[in-house]
Amino acid sequence: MANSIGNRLPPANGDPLWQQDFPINRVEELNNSRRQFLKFLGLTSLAFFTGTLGVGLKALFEERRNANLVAQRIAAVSDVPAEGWLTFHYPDASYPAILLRLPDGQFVAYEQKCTHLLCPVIYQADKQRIFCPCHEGVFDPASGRNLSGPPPRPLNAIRVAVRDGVIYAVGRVG
Amino acid sequence: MLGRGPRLPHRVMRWLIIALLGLNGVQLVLLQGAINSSELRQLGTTWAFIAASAGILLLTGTLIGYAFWRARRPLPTELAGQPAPDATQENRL
Repeated sequence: MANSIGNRLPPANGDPLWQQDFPINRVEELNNSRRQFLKFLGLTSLAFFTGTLGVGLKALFEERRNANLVAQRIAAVSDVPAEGWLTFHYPDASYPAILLRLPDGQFVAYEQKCTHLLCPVIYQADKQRIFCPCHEGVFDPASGRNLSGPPPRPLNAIRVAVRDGVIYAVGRVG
Repeated sequence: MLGRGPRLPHRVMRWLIIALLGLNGVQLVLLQGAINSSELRQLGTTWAFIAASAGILLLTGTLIGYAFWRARRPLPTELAGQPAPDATQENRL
């Protein structure tokens, strides 16, 4: 039996034997029809909307969470030297923050995440700036405003209060 | 389905695809705007971006729905009993 499977030789082009019985037009398979492309564009639109909605829901969740924050002790006033700074976490361990003592003695605190790519920022008292070493972003220490470099937004500020010689974080600004 | 004529003219289909690509681009910008405003804790602005994105999704669905609805209708030439002028497989929607 010349046509039995046992005697059939593989085709010269290297395709497996089964393709002789189930031929597939590969070029046609790779082509997307306009109908498929329309569906793809529709699904892309749905994906963008879902992502935007997710961002909104996350913001809503954060807003509600911020409304319920409780005061948290950061340090004693004596622990922070003039023009010094220290790090802490607020409201929980996943949110690193920095507390600065400005030259005028005022305390300010910010999330220690650069608004560019979330690198930790540091306070440089000699240059009077908050600096992100990853991409050289610069923030104003008094206001947290982005001054130069790639950061698109000011640092997220944390409200601080000083009571009886102790500094507390009492909430987020905004 | 071989032999069906093009249900939407090429020109209409081209503009439909360009319009949908443009709408997707606008939605991408809206997504970036929503991220930015949420980080700035401007919740009202964020929801405005979401509403705009929903509107564009609705518009996209309407355009695609129109295209598919239009594709089901016979062409005037077919109604008259004549073959479609460009009856090839790749030209149908």
